[in-house]
Amino acid sequence: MSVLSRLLVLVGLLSLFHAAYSAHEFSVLSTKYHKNAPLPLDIKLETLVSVFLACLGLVWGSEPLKPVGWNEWAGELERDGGANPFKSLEERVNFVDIRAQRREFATWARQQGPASTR
Amino acid sequence: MATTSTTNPSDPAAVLRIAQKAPSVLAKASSVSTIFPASIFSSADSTELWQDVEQLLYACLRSGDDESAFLCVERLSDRFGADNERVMALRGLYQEAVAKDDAALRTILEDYTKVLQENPIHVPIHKRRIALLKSLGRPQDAIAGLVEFVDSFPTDIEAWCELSDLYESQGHISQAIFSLEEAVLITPHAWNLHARLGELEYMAGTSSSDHSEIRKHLTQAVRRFSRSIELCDDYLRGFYGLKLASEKLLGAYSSAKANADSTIPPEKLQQLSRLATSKLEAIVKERTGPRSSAGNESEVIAVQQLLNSSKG
Repeated sequence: MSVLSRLLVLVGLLSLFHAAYSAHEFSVLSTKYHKNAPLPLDIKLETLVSVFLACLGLVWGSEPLKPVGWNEWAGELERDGGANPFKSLEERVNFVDIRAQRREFATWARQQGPASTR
Repeated sequence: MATTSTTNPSDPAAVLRIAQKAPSVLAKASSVSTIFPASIFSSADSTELWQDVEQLLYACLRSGDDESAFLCVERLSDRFGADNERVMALRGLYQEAVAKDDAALRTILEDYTKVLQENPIHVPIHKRRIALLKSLGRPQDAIAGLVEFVDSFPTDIEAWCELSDLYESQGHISQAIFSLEEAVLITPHAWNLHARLGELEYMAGTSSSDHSEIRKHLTQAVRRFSRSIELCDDYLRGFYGLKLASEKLLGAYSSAKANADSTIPPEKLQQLSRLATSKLEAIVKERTGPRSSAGNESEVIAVQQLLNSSKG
């Protein structure tokens, strides 16, 4: 997808430059011969189509959109194990009972056996 | 907001992983120069680094790596000054952790009280003092201190949550519910607090003996769990509680012979219970699937047990 979208953007931009150059050349020619001719249809069409292609490429190549709804965002956090900003209210580091946690960790380490810890 | 982004994982293996990063984090922290001309050009002095150091301190203290923990405290006090409020609390935490006996802990407690006499609005030391009281097995004193604290700082969510837990540990469920409601007033979007509140209401409902009390608490529990799943899609904890609470409430309705008015109609409760069951089944299927990420397996096992028991 990303290669295709980049290619689209490249083609669109090149074609846009081509259209701009054509318009420039056309205007130079028309002033040279003092004829106020309207811009030919093919240059107009080329401009529109190339802008459309470039936009399409940009939209396709963009990142997937982030959720806007709170519940979707929260659900994503819970599912992917992201950092829940309210998790700290249940852990409460400022009130931590460090001695109990040390004992807990020591018990866990003994259960794991000496091989896997240090 | 009073919330800190420092996390303290409950899983010992995760703690050990953090603690093992000690040398690299400490090396980075000690390379930071705070002397004026150099401090402008160095990009190492970032918020993230000092958060890492703080997290490392907690991890080292838990895993018993006291030397690294001491170095963390030293780095932090080099950077922010020894009289910085948070650094003072962290130093206190270190002293608590390495204290040999209860006498040493009581000395630390006296130090905290002394600091608070000089500066009565020293929030981190207040919190440490309350935590130390709890650790010393004096929950009543801790509650008294915390009640005083939330009187002075009524917007401290962390303190309200801690008070709620302390009350719950002492069996005062209604006070615990009140404290957590205060916290929810300040952060109405915290889905985990709503779920916790639902759990407390459920506990109150199951421990009560009065029929109207039971129904009142269980109705509240259903509402709180519903709010938590409204705030967070596919919230396992919320759906688990919703299933338990709605089925219990249905049981309470049928045993009370349908005399009193029911605030939530039984049909709706049945719908809620069915919804919770189907959602839980979907979540279990997804989490046990091949693409599931590891972690919180105990939750999934508990859900499976609940689903099996309700089927059988």
